[in-house]
Amino acid sequence: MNRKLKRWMMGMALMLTTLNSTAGIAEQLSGSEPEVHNLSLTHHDFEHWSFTPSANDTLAITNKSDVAHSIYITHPDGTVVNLDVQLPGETFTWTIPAAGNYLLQCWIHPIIRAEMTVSP
Amino acid sequence: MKIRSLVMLACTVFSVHASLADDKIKRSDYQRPEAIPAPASNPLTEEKTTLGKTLFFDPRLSRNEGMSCATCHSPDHRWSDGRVVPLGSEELEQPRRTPTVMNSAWLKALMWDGRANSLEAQAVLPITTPHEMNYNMKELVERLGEIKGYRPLFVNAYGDTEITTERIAMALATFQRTLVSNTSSFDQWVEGDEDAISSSAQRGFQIFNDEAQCAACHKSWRFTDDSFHDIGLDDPDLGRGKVIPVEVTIMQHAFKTPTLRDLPENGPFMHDGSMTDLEEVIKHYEDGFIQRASLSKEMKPFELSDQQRADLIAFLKTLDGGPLAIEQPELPEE
Repeated sequence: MNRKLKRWMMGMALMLTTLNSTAGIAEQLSGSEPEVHNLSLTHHDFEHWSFTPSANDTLAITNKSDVAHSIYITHPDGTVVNLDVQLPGETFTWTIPAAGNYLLQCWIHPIIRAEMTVSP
Repeated sequence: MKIRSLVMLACTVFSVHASLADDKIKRSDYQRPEAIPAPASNPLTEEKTTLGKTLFFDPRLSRNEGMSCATCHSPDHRWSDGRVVPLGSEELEQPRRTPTVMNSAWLKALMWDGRANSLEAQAVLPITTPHEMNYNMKELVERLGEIKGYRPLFVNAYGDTEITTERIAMALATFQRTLVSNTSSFDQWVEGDEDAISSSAQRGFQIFNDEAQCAACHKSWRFTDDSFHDIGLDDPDLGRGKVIPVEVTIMQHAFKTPTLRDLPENGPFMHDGSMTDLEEVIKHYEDGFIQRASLSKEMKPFELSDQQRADLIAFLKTLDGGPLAIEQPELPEE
């Protein structure tokens, strides 16, 4: 009896897992589920990234250098968003509000400058 | 057991030594570049350099014809002026020391507060600043147009006699890009000449990178990463805080990290020219700075012995390549 119950529970669990992962793939395909993209910051640059961010995605930026940074982002309409100070080892996040071209810079280190194109 | 401990200790010591020599302090990080960079929109040419040099030394670029770029950026003073307060700034509430223009081809942000982002943009600022050359570009273009001797210089540089603000700025920027520090004894050491600098200076180099953490900001062969910091000087000048949004607290009282190459013997040092010897400067970084919300996160107290301070100063002196002398141009006749 116990063995039958166990088998039934395992079957249900397998079915739920399959349903869940299928739903996840569907959501990803439709682009409705925001993603989190990891990005690293070195002493004088953002490390190269290969992902293509979409609106509502989040950037998780980790300061991997041994100095503090003060990142700010210029939006496509010219609005500037300051992200305060990022100490060595800290990870900070920024959610992309809309599609367009963004400019990521550092107040402390003007040499840090990266352009990011965000799709709808 | 004892032998095992000794072996482990030896391995640890060797490992730490190797790490310092190979990873943390790399001489190659301080290697001089092979070529002078220039933007594609304003490539280096000999003809533009000649025009820019002439303009740089010509006092007719100022309203009263009494001040040239070279008045404050003089070859006799390592292309600065050796003054605590620049000429014409005596009445200003917050005067800033004249920075050198050497090695400016590599600058990523110009002026003490970074308000110019290229040498071309910077070039017109002193000409049009009231307490400096106090002129305006429209009248300057007209004045230069009346000096016949400038015509061949503009033809050689640009192909015709047209004089514009942009062309003046491009020529001045081009000349300044050619002002590069002479090779110093430190450079020779970086290239492998072990005897080029004293053992005291070599210890100073280690202190510079290690205990004192100067290299957190004074990076690269120019000994600056062009970053901006509040180093806790008791000075009301807000620096970069005046030109960027006020809510960026970390930029209040922040000024550009100056180069450490070719330092003048007796200063003045710091953006406000408030210090005249290097020992005073080092002590400021040890624990002489004032605490405030905008203080740079890289300002961390440390303590050096008298010998260590002397070693650090010995190292800094190895960065001096000597005067960069040039032949002054013959100014064009009317």
